[in-house]
Amino acid sequence: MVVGVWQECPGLRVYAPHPSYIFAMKAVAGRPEDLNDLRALRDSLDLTSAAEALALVTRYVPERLLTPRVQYLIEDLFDDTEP
Amino acid sequence: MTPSLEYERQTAAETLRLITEGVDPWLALGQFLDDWRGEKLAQRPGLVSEPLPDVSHGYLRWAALLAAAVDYLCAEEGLPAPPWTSRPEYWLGEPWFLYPGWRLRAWQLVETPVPFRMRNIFGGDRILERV
Repeated sequence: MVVGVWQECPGLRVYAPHPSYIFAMKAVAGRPEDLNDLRALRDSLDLTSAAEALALVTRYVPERLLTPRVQYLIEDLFDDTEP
Repeated sequence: MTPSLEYERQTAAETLRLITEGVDPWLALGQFLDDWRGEKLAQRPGLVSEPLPDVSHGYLRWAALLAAAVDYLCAEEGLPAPPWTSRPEYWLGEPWFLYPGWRLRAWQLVETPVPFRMRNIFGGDRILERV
């Protein structure tokens, strides 16, 4: 599910995208400002490997649109090795 | 007295002030970028004319990033960069890679626009992207 109801009260229904969808969109955008959000979403979604994260992203984004930059960005999220 | 309802755009100097007050630096920079791009060309120099305030060492990176951003944005519009962007303290002594991992290091070295690179800041070609 991409979007779900986050809050509902009389006369108001607030929708929010699923965190996995936000993770995918932020991974593809890949701006420096997305890094902290991606780390927080990685932890909140209990993602433990780059392969798992890439599989999640391809649920929303066709693989042919994933550039090496997106792949490297995701792999670096799971790698604390200093350059 | 009736408060003014006119929207006041966020200047570069105000952006750094917000950062030193604890606002998330990327949020503050994004607000400045939105205001810059939403402003008429003739009015844009007014957003960057005031020199950045002096800041402690911990905020110097962000001051340098802002100087680079202003330099880049002015060049993009064919405007002269304000003189304060050339202050030597905005040339960082150590390189700052916005993506710390090693896989994107080569990409950052190659793709970062010159105004950032010359100040020893590396972050690829999306530093000033908003969406």
